[in-house]
Amino acid sequence: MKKKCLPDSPFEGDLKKLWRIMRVTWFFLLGLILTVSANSYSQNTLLDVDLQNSTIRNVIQYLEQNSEYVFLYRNEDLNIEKRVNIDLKKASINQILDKVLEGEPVFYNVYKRQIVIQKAPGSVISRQAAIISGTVTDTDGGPLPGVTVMVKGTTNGTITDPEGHYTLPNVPGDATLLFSFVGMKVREVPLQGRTVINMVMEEETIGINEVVVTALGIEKEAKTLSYNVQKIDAQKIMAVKDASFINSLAGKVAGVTINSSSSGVGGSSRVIMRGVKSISGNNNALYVIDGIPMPNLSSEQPEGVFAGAGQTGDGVSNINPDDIESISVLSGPSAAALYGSSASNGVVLVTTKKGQKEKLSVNLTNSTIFSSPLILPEFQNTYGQSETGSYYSWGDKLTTSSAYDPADFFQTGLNVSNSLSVSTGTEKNQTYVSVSTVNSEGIIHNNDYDRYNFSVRNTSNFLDDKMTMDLGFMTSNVREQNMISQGQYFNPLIPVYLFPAGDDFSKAAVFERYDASRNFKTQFWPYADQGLSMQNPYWITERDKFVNHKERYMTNATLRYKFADWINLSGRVKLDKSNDRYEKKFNASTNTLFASENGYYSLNETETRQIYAEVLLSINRYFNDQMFGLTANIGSSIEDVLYNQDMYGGKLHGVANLFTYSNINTSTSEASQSGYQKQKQAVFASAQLGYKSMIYLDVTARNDWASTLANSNTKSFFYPTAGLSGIITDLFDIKTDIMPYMKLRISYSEVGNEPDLFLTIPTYALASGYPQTRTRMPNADLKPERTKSWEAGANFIFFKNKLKLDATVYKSSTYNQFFEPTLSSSSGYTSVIVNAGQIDNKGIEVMANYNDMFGKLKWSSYLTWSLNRNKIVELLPGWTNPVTGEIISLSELDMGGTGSYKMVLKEGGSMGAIYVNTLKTDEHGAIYVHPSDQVVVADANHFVYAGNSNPKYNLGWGNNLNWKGVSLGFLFTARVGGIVVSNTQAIMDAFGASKASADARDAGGALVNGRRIPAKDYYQTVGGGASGGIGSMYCYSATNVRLSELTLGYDIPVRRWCNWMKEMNVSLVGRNLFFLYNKAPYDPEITANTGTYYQGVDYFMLPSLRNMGFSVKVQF
Amino acid sequence: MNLNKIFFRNKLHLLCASLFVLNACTGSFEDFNTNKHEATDEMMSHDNLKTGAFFSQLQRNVVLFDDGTNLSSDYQVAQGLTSDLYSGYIAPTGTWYSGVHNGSYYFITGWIEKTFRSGFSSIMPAWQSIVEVAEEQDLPEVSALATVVKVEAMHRVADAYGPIPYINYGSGSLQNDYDALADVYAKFFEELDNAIDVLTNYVNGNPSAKILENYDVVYEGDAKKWVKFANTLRLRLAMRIVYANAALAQTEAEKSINNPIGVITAENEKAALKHSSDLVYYHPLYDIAYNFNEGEARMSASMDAYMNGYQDPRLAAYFKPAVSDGGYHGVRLGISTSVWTRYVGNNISNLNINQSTTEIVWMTAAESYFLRSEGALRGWSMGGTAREFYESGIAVSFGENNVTGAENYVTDATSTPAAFTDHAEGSSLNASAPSDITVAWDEAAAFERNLERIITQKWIALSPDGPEGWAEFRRTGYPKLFPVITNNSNGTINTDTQVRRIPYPQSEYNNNNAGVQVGVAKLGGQDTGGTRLWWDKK
Repeated sequence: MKKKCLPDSPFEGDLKKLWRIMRVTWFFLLGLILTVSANSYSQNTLLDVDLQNSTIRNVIQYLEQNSEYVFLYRNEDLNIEKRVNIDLKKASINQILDKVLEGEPVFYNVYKRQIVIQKAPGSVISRQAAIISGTVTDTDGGPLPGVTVMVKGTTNGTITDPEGHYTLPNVPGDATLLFSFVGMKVREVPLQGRTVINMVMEEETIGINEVVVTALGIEKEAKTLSYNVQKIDAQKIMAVKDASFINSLAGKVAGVTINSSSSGVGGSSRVIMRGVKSISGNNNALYVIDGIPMPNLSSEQPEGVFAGAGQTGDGVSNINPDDIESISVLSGPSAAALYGSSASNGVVLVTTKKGQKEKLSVNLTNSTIFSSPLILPEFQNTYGQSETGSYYSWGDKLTTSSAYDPADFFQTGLNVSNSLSVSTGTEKNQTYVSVSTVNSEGIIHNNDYDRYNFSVRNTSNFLDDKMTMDLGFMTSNVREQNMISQGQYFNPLIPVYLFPAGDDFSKAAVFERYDASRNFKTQFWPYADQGLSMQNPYWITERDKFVNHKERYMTNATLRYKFADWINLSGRVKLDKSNDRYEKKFNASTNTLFASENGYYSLNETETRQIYAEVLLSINRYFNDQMFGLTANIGSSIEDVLYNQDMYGGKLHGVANLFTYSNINTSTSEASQSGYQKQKQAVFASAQLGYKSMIYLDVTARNDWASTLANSNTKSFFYPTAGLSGIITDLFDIKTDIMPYMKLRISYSEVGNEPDLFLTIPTYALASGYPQTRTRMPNADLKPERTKSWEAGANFIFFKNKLKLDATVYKSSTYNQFFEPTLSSSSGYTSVIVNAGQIDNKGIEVMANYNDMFGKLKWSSYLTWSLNRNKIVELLPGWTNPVTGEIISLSELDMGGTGSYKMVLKEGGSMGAIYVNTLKTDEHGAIYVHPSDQVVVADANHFVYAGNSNPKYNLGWGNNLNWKGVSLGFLFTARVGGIVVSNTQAIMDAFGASKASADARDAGGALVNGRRIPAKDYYQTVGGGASGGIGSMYCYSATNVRLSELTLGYDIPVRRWCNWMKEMNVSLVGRNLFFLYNKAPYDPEITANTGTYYQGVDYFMLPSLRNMGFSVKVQF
Repeated sequence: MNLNKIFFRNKLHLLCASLFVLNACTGSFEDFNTNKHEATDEMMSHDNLKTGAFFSQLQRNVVLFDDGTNLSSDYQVAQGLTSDLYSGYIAPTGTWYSGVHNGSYYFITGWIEKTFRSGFSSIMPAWQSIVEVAEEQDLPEVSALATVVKVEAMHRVADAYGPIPYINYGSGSLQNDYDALADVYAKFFEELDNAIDVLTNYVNGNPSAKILENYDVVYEGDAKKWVKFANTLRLRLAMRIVYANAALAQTEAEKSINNPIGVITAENEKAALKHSSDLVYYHPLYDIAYNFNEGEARMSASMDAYMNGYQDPRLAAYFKPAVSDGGYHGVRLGISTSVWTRYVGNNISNLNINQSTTEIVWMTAAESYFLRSEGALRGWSMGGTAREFYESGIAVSFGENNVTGAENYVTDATSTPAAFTDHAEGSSLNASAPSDITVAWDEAAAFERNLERIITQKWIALSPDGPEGWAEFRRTGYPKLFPVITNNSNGTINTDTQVRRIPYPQSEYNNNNAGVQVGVAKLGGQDTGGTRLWWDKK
């Protein structure tokens, strides 16, 4: 019985203290299950111990390994580093412990198989004559030894003896007794004149008393919450490490859809909780680190056929995953109301690690992961070029199949991450220091990602432990090179995927050749750009560079003063600063669309600085004979964000490949500058009132003053939440072994959202030094956007804590959306920003956990299920023009796309609706085929609804098996419903490069309306050129099921051989391994755009990665 | 404990006080929420920016180019993929939509709205702002100048679509009814008449004064030249409506000739965006022909037939010889894009555009002569004979292109347009000669024959001004242009009579449905490319 046998589903709590509580609970439960046989264990077990000059820690470890005893103690109570000499044969546990703990200011109790070591009570001060006594028992009636009994508010206390008896002298008649025992619920009993108090202690149930981090970093017991919080232990989900930790959450949290960017390692992620809500705003979740919201560092996203090169990662990708202690996901806005605006999309709360008291621990981890494309389109290699030099493969069938395989272009990706952390501390002062490196090479040469993180954190207590100071500093240094997500520009996949199999690709490998007239090597590419801005793929990877350097510094300080146990005041300040440099360097002889004959250079520098400060008064108190508990917070915060961007660049003038400003041709140079400062001030309060620890009422309120509302009619905005939860099993006393716990909860919340920058004070944009008329109609009457939502849920525990089930249903409506309908340009304006529209989301989140033991095999399993339905209830039903009073309505909004695909918002539809263009049809609706020419005809303007980019539901099923230190984990994820459109497949068809086009030719033509028509004309029409062909012919189901994680690990029992090493684990890990089901020609879960639109389309996206590797973790 | 309580109470007070202070500090919010990189209303009151800067905006949006706001691709969709094709000047060689696009009479909705949008959201608001400020400041000449440029820009919009919501513009209404084209033209004339009067008086009163000199990249504030331009513009518009309202046409045309300052006569009076330190730019066709995917436009087959047939010395000024044989070879409209590489290859002529010298031309001096020639041919009082003006027009055009040999060219009575031979590899979209019209004037020839002669030469001289070339082709039927190879208009456009207009933008149906329906009613036909405009009556 070692601690590896403890439940290790990622959803169990894991603050150190808490974890220990759970440990105890687990053994209690086991004890209950195993009943009597265990009771005699302590009396009958005799042990041999021969340990010289060993620390107490080692002795305890020895005993735990060689017996079924388990030790429970607090680090601050026991000096475990003290060295002792023990040589005992066939000794009872009491004999051994008497020897070991000799002279230590502690005492111990043996209860069944657990040994509780506790600090000896302080000196007892006699003041009054009343002597209180009694017996403490567990719920089975058995005596409980070792229970601490204290007079509340004093140091007067004692411990129950082996029979559960206690006697406490000198207790005032109006005092309150506190009974506490590790793993049991703390009980408070006012004496009210009584002198005999017998107490029945109840064990805490696994998971119920889990402490979760909620808004503002406030820790609360999960059972008291009226909304859904899913807590994830970072250690457990990051078994398979990703450079960006958020990707590790996919499939493990209900209500969250995570799509990683196609730009590869270190790229951005799209994290949508409970559906997209805002038409024009950001729909991604808010990240909050140690209680402080992170600035939005997301970058511009490709949303058409051209862009996609030079991507960069988002703000969370800068965080070192090893610094994370735990993550709480608050998927609903009710949970996040205290963070204000940006939290309406849900919040990912990250708690970072800090130093441990009186314990030195050093952790070293390495993870080495190899990657390859998970899925590629299907190519043909049996048909030759249309003619020599052509890029089209519509020629004759080759006598021997070509050996050309586009997959050969990819290299094996490698991602090596190392991290070292040191945690140390005394009672008063704890320090955590970590360094980590990530060095990654993508599957395309020169796509590199390097990250270096350093963090240090110090926590100290002073003024009689009343004052706590927490100082932290984190920095990251990131270099990204050639992160490409999709699109025509600088995308090597286009020439590679379309390359005519009949030609010799090895010619292209010599991508530059000596140009005698220029006396240096220039690009070799005899195929022209094919209307797709095509270049030699090797030239793109070797000579056209997008290099980003990003530095980020986060400094924070927290000061907390504890006036009393139940009240404290804290102040927090954080400075988060990023400096990013984005460089583009295109060598001479790059396509003239991008560069002069001498090349191109640009440098874009951005600076983001966020200052966040907050004061918070927290109260946590029980009243009225423990009947009522109140947790309340009142605070105020200020958030100030400064952003500046400066860019200059242009085609190079005199000297080829000299990438510097002075070499830029000023007449065609580009320059841009932008920036802003915005500030938000808020006061907020929250209160939670509990009744008998069974019913809880939660209310919050917040008022925001936002600088973006300056000059508008609204100066500030207020939003409240309210929630109610009740532990039904306690309330009605219906606890059974089958269902020991059931909680019901309901909550309502409102969240306000501020308008975009500068809207309230219109200015005139400049072009070449001349101000331009405004194209956007000014509208001073802007109100904050509002999301109102309801959620109701239930939490169950079944079968003696083996099965835990959480379910939530929710509905949210987002009103007063800021959106920018286009106006008839005959008005002189092209658009106006108005408050209108309503988007509804409703759905279900279910999460189930199952833990069981089969002999020594421990199995834990979890299931997540998320369902969301999005509906555009209204767009612009009737907006009154303030100038003329006329009513403007709009029921449709085109959000753009490629030539063959677009997203359109329509009233009654959904925000993921995909529209595609079609072929001309006949009067029966069948595809029109020209009777004599045998060709189909494009109807490129005619867009029809094809489906939705959003899933109907998502499923995740994860399992962990553990047997004697060997662990096996696997996670299946499934997405059901929705469609995707592949423009890649269309263009490959048009070029005759796809397997489909070869199959059609082999079969004598493309099958249309049951007849074969000439394949070339057909595919060149439906695949149609650069614009992506005919979308309706390239829609695929997005349903897919995959093995998304697999780990096989072994905890090497290093302690058997050496004292200085505590733990060592080696694991084989795999992520995104294979599809069990997928009908699309690419991975439907990756996206080029992590924003709201341009979803569910593939325009030569880089393939998603299959990752396999190993990790080693060592703890000293 | 007591001490603590006191401490705590004070702290609470402190907290409340700090919250109060914090939230009283919203004074700088207005400053924060003002974009530091854009001009505020206060700044706009300096240096007459509201007239000057917006006058610059007007000039930059008649023909779109890469100016920091518009891009070359805006030019491309506004006119490079409509009038530039339909005028027979260039042929598209891009790979869009499998060839099913504007080039084969299938209008791409995203493309055909650009002309409308730039006219109404860039030209009209700038004009309106200038007029408002000019009236406040009592500067009628500034207002008049803005009006002239507005008409120059908006007649292109009207000639593309037909009825437009022009007359009541600026009412504040977001949904405006369309005006019949006849009414729009009447308004054009009214506005031009007024503007010309104001400017003529201004020139007479202040002979050497300049208007908005620092902002004018066409005539550098030379009011006299602006009057000449405005007169020629009035002549152009008058001629446009000759088949719809001959009397009004003649009246307006003769007004211009009788104006004391008159019409454009000299090469240096042409209206073009001058390259200068104030305006560094290049012609957007450069990007389109050279940078966009190795060329999304090439010499058209019609230019090939006429200019090769006449052995026109301007050929080398307009086009680059094909690399393979040094000849000038064009491309038919409506080719299938699967063979597009052949058309951007070495066998076809590209456009000859010099990045630093080729200007965007609104109106050539030659056009003025050809207009007067046609007027004279019609018996209007143009101050000379049709032949004089015709031959001067050719000579001026040669001069404008720095080409010699006009003397011989105008006497060539034998050369006729050539048959078109497709030079693209493996392609044979050949066509017989489109016309047998010769260059040399023939006084004895019938009216129609000489009209064809005038318009054919005018067409060559106008190149590559697509909007004007296409409008004149529609009005007169000349020059005779090759039809499209593939007609994807679904029967709405006759291949032989060719495209007569472009349909209204889809966005107008979405955002101004009632207004555009009125427009369709006033159009007098379906909203397709086959419906003739009011002045298209021949």
